[in-house]
Amino acid sequence: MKHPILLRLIAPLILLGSWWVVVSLRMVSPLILPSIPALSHAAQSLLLRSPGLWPDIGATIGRSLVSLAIAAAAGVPLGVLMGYVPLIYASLESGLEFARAIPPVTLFPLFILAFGFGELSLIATPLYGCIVIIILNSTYGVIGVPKVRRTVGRLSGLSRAAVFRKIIIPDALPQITVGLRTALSLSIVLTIVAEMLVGTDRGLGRKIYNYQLSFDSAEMYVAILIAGVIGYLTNRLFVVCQRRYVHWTDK
Amino acid sequence: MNAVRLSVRNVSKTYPKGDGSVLADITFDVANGEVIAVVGRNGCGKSTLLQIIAGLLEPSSGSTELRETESDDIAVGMVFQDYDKSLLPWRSCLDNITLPLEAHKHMRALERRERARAFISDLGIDLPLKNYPYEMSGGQKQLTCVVRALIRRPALLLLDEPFAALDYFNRHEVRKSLQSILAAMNLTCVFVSHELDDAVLMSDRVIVLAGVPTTTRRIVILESPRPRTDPDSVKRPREEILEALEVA
Repeated sequence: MKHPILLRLIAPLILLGSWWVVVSLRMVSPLILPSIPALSHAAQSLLLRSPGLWPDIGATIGRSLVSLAIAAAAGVPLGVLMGYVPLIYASLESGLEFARAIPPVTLFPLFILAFGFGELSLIATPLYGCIVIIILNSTYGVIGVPKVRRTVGRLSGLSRAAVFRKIIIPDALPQITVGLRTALSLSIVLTIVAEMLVGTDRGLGRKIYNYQLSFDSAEMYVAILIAGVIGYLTNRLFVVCQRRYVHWTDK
Repeated sequence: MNAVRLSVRNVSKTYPKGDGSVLADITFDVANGEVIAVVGRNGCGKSTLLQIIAGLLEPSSGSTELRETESDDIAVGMVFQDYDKSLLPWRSCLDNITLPLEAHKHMRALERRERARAFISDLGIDLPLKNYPYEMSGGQKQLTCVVRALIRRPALLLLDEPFAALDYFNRHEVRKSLQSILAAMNLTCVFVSHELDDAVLMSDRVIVLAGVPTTTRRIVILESPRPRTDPDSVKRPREEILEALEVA
C-alpha cells in the first residue's frame, strides 16, 4: 500500500505493452487478440453510448450483492452459533466441509430443476458458494477466541451474554470479515459463470458468451475487462472499510 | 498479625487422563495485606494452584476460602502472563480498564471512564489511555492488565507469571510500579513466578513447590520490609529457595 502509484502501474503497463507488440507483429489472429484501437472503439460504444453494457453491469452487480447479502445474513449467525456451541459444531462440521468440496456451478442444473430458468437459479449458485465460506470463517473466528480473553470477561463479573457480546463477537470479527471478503469476490465470479449457462439475456456473463458466439472479440474483451474492474474495485472498497471498522485485524 | 484473608486447605488436583497427581495436599494461609510468591519449576502446577484459588478450576480434594469485606467489590482480580491475549485489541487502553465496571449495569460509560481515570491517577502511574494495545509497549500493556484487575477493588489479586513475557527494561518498570501499587493499596496478593528475583524482592513469604506430585517443599519468610530493590539484600533467602528447589 505504501508503494508509489507508478510501481503499481508496472504490471498493467507490461500487459498493455506486450499486447501491443503481439498485435502489431501479427503474431496471432485478431479474432483471438483484437488491436488496441478496436478495443477502445468497442469500449466507447459499450460504455459511452446509451444503454450499452450498463444494464448488464447493473444486473451482474445486483445479483452478486443480493446473493452475498442473503449468504451473510444467514451464514454469519449460523457460523457464530456453530463456533459457540460445540455440540452444533460437532454435528454440522463434516457436512459443511463436504458441502464446501462441491463446486457450486455443478449444482446449477439442480437449481434450474428446483427454481426454473430465472433470477432465483442465478442467485442460488453464488449464494451456495458464499454461504459455506461465510459459515466456516465465522465458526473459526469464534473458536479462535483466546481462552484467556473469555476468562478475563468472566473474572470481571460480566454475564455470559455480556462476554458473548463484548468479547467473543468483536474477537471473531476479523475472521468473519475474511469470510465476507472471500465471498464477495466469489459471488461476482459465480454470478458471471451462472449467467453464461442459461436463464437470462442480461448480465456480463451472458454478454461475454454472446460476443464470443458472434465473433465480436473486441466487445468480448471489453466485457471481460469490466468484470475484472468490478472485482478489483469492490475488493478495494471492502479493504478500506475493513481498515476503518475492524482496525485491530492482524494487530 | 493481620486477619486471615485466604485459606488454602489440603488442596489436591489430579487429572483423570493425565499421569496422576499434579498437586498434592497444599495448605497455607494468606494474611490481609500479605504478598505471597509461589515458585517452582515449569509444569509443577503453580498456575493450576492459582486457577483453583481463582475459582476457575475445581480442586480434586481440599478447599480454598476467601474472606471478603464490605469494601471489596469483587472476589479476585487476575493478571495473566500473555497480556496480548488478555487485553481486548479493539478497545483503547482506557476502555480495556473500564471492562470490569461494565458489570455494574447502572453505571454510565462516562462515569466508568471518570472512575477509571481517577483510579489511575490515584495509583500514580502513567498510561497512554487513548492508545490501542497494538500502539503500546509490553510494559504498558501488562500494567493496563494490572489496573484492569484492580479497578473493582478485589479482595485478592492473583498474578500468573506477570513478568515472564516482558524484556529486561519493561520487566523492571512493571515490577517497580507493581511494588508501589501493592504497598499503596495494601493489597493481598498471590503471585506465581519462576524468577527467584521477583519472588524475593516483592513478597513477604515464598512458597516453594517441588516434587512429583507437587507438594509444599518449604516456606521462606522475608523479614526485611517491602519494597525491596536490591537483590543483594535478599541473598540468603534466595539461596534457601534455590536449595529447596534443587533437592527435587
